[in-house]
Amino acid sequence: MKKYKLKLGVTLIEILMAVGFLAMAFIPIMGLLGSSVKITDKDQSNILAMNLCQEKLNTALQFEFGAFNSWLGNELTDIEIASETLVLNLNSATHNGVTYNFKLKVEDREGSFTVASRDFTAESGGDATPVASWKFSAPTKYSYKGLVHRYTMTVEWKDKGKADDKKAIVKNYTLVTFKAKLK
Amino acid sequence: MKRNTKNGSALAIAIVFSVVLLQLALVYSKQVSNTTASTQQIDERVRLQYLADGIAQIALLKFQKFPSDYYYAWDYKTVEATQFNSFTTNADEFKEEAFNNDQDQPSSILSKGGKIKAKLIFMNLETTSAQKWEQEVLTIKTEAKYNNNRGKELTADSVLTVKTERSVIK
Repeated sequence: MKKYKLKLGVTLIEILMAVGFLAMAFIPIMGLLGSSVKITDKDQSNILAMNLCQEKLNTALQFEFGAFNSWLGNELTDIEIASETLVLNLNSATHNGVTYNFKLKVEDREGSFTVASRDFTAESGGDATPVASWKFSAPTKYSYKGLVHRYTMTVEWKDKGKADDKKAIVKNYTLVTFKAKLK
Repeated sequence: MKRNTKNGSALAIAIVFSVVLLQLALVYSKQVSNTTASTQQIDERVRLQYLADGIAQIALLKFQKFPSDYYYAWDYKTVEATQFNSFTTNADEFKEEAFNNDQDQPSSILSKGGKIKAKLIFMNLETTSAQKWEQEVLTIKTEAKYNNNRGKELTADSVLTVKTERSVIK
């Protein structure tokens, strides 16, 4: 009698189990892909917000120091005025379904400079006094006002598809810099 | 064609394949989180840069308002640096505390960390008219530092270089 060698191949159960394993592996992968698309979308809108904020602030800084002075204290449409502070609600911009709102605040930044002056009265040689014998007065603080402006540019936006969602988080990004009244 | 005759091999192949897929997915997710982290770093650096630039403006303003006091302190630096330092880096208006208030600190929902520490690093004459250049160049360097919520310290510098003219009234 011819003896048949039993050759076992891939059974149906094996195939089903293999397919099951693969399916189980795919579930988190698909979830991951979905969430990474969302993260990439958010990243894109964040980067765009930063770029737009910089662009608007750079534009504002191009104006000469006194450009905003005439508006300080005046009532203008769409402009909130506080004491020595100017708040401009700039035009909003929409990119890829996300609307970005901008607000520029220009305000006076008061301060003081600490300066120790050369004390000629304490020197005996006048202008000809050698450097090693120079005398200086104690440092004095000189207060200033209207010489430095603080620029605060704020951009606010909501994530894609959440513009009408009142509960959605309003994201914000703020840049602060100073502009001095230079010669 | 040779048949696969080993019992259970399909299962083994499927498991290996699944592990490889999961590893790929993990690498991908790590890449995505790295992208988010680098976006946050860009955000932080931009905020630092603008603050550092602003401080350089204030430093230049001080020089323009008190040029003779600056020059005397600079010349006296060869004898003693105290006067010069009190005009520049040790002056209250250029220390970290001067910019530690809420109004001067930019904010962002993208990344929250500690407060930005900004200050003047130096304010030096690079060349003087006594040298062969016959030009005086003032260089102002400011710095803004920040420890982010991932424990990383980020720094941005601002360097402002201006040509100056020293006039002596006789």
